[in-house]
Amino acid sequence: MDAQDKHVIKTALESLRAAGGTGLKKAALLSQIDLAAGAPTTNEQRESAFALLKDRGWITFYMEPIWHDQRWTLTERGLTALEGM
Amino acid sequence: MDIRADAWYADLSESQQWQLYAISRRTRNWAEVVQAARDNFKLEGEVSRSSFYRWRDKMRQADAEQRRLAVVAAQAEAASLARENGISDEAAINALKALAIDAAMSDNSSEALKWANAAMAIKDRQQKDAELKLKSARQKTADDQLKLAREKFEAAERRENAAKGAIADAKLSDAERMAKLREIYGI
Repeated sequence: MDAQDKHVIKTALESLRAAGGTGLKKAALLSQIDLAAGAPTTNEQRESAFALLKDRGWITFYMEPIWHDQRWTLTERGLTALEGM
Repeated sequence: MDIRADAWYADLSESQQWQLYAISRRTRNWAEVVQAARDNFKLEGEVSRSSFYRWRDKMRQADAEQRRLAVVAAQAEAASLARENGISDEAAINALKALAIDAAMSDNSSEALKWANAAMAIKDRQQKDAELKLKSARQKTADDQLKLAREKFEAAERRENAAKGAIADAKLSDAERMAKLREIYGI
């Protein structure tokens, strides 16, 4: 992961930390990844960053019971990773 | 934001830069955005393509940061709105927070409208629930009063039948009849 990738991932994790237990929709998270990258990103690049967050166990999702939306939140591992960045 | 004095956008206010950035998110044509700056904000001088994109990249990163801060503010706003309206149900508070966060993260103004409408809907729903509870409590009181009246009537009817029996019983002497009646009426 180069410095720019790290910055993007860190911004995504920080956004999730800000959203707390309520979390973010995947689209909002991808949009944060895109904005943090500075230059416009492709769908593949955004999905690849998202997959990295998911595969490392840094994020998890739950179904919001009232609106029935899938929302992503930071895991303990994600928080630890963020604190180490 | 630190701005170099010779930057092409140095004379634009922060608000003008954000307006320009909003335009730049709607179009892929950088020259169109620069023209909008010339028309609306009296931008003068040359703007190179590379310096435009450097500014845009910087704005995108600032946008990400602003949205992150907006998410924190939106949650606090939702929690405060819930408190003001007496919404104590945790699921409802979280649902409001979710809408507020989505509105903060979105460029779409209908998201913000959705969040305001949901807050009103939850408030209405709670008022209706409270009215229903009150109505049900009133009904219960009326039912209890009716039940009590029916019990009193039935007890009086039982006493009357017993008294009639005692009066009609030829085997009883007058003294025994009086004693029976006293017993029935609890005198």
